[in-house]
Amino acid sequence: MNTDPVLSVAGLSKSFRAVKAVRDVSFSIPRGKTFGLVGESGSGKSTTARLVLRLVEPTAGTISFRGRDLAGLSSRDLRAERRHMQMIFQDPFGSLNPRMSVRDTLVEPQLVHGIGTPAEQLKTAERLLAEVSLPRTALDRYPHEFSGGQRQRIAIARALATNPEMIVADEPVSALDVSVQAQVLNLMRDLQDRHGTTMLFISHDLRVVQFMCDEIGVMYLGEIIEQGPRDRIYGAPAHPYTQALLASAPGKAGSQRARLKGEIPSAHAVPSGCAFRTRCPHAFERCTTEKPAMRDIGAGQKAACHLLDTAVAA
Amino acid sequence: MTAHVAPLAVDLVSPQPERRTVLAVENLGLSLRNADGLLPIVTDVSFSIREGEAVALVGESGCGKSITASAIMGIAPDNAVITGTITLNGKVISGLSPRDRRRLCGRHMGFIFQEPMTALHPTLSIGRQMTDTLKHNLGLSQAEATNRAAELLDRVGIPRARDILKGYVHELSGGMRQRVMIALAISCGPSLIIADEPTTALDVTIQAQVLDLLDDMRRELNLAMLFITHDLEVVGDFCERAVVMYAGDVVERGLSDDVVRAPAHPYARGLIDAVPAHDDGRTRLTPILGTVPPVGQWPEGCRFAPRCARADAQCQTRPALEQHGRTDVRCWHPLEENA
Repeated sequence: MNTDPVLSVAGLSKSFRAVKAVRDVSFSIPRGKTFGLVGESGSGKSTTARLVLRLVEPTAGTISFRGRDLAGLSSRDLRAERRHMQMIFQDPFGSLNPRMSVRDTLVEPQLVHGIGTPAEQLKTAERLLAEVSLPRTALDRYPHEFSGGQRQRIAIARALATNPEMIVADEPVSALDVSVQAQVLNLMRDLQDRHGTTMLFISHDLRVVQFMCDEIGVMYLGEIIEQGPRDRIYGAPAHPYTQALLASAPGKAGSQRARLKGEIPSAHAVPSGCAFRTRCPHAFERCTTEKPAMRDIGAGQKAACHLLDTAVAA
Repeated sequence: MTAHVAPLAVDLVSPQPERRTVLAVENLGLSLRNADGLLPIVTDVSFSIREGEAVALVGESGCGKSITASAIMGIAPDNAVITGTITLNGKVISGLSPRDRRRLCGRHMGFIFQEPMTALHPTLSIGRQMTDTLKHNLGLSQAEATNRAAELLDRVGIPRARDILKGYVHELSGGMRQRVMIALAISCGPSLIIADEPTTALDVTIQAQVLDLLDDMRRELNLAMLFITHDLEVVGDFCERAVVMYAGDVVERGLSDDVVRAPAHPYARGLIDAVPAHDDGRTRLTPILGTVPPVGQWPEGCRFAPRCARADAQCQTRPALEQHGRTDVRCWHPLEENA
């Protein structure tokens, strides 16, 4: 079996004029695995997703998908390649065409990529509906006739219509009530098991990321500041930001809640040295002058923090 | 002699002195009048909040929690028909005219909404919005109101308060806007704060800051607080008591610790199981099957019965809210774990 990563991103950066939205992001996703990007608003996680899909053009860096560099592809080749990477967005109301019946919604991606005969396309549409547990009668209905959770099922079915190798899911359950959220998360995991789909999963919700992802990158102000297997990130977070993020999550006793001071600085004015130093409870002089490098700390975990140097030297 | 004995006995029996009830909601019902008649939205909601106490009103979208709050605030839609009584500081406010109600509530209730961008005025300076409120409700002069506004902003942790007063809402971050809302809510010395999903739109690190601030204000000012949320984990951290709503009904009511950790109503249990918990290593979640029935399509008996694994023939009859174990539950077959 092919063990090369399905997606491999290196040195990915994106600036919108003076705003450095994404800075030097690198990660790769092995086949059939889920990589999670977690962070607060403005951390650059959604822009990273759009860069990976080449919905936005990167300022620098490479995106290698199935062994091909996406950045070098012509728009025609890119379109062909998109068959293998589909997406699910947060808003199940905005991401489905309100004038298209469910049947057309599920057939269209197949048409665009020239997959199958009309009869086969319809058959695929019916199978997809069954896979996401919607009745066959849904085919002739329109998005407004469905609840938020049902629409997200339709969006998932549409993403699967071209049998893609990878799905990019950007906050797919954030707009849903918790009871419905659980249905959709279970569904996504089942489908991934069944189809072996590779997934890039973006969310601000730490609980959801822990449930869904094998490997996690924590983003802050456009950078991945810590990365590693799920159990390491949640069990032994190394970066002060990851630690604070986990401690801020509700469900911890109020008195133990770590209080991170201040807010994320503007991406217009990224602090010198370590971008997190303005909010970091441990910041010292070196953090202002020198940007910490990503350092390997074992068990597949990496973090960018000067404290780790001290810890290793001591 | 009694001086030795009495305090000990009091400490053992009742560790807290009796707290005054600030808000009492009894058998509140709300229906909307439309062309076909009356459409029930909320039925038979009862709870109370004492001074210094935070009570959570919990549920998913469409359960009626926000409209319950709007009935308490006196901003229910014009076509709403409200039954039951709402008492604020011992005075029945549910029957008052809008004008009398505003006079009473402006000072004694403060509001914090999810989206400060829509709740605050976009083209009036922050100072103007605050001083108008202070002048109107407390009869302060402009200079007094400005000083008081600056003090309030300072108190909620906004740096450079005097400069911020001259600024506008859109110039602030989400967390700072919510702090301004809190400053406004406490500005006239209210006894009750109603907070409708006040941290839902905020990032987790900012959410923690704002919750801490609300908690500090509650303690310092001995405020009664109605905290409306969909997030049970926030409830456990932040509120002393919790009221869980489903399809316009109160389905469980009790101490937060009991409701969040060992609920007796199958819906409350379902809400907890549906959320991926930290470190539980589950590979599947336990969703609640189906969806919340829309208003106007509620089942006759127990409204949760069609989605409930424990439902049987008895559930065709509407259960009452009754004490079971440590909480009050509206269910024929409550879970036994907290009994």
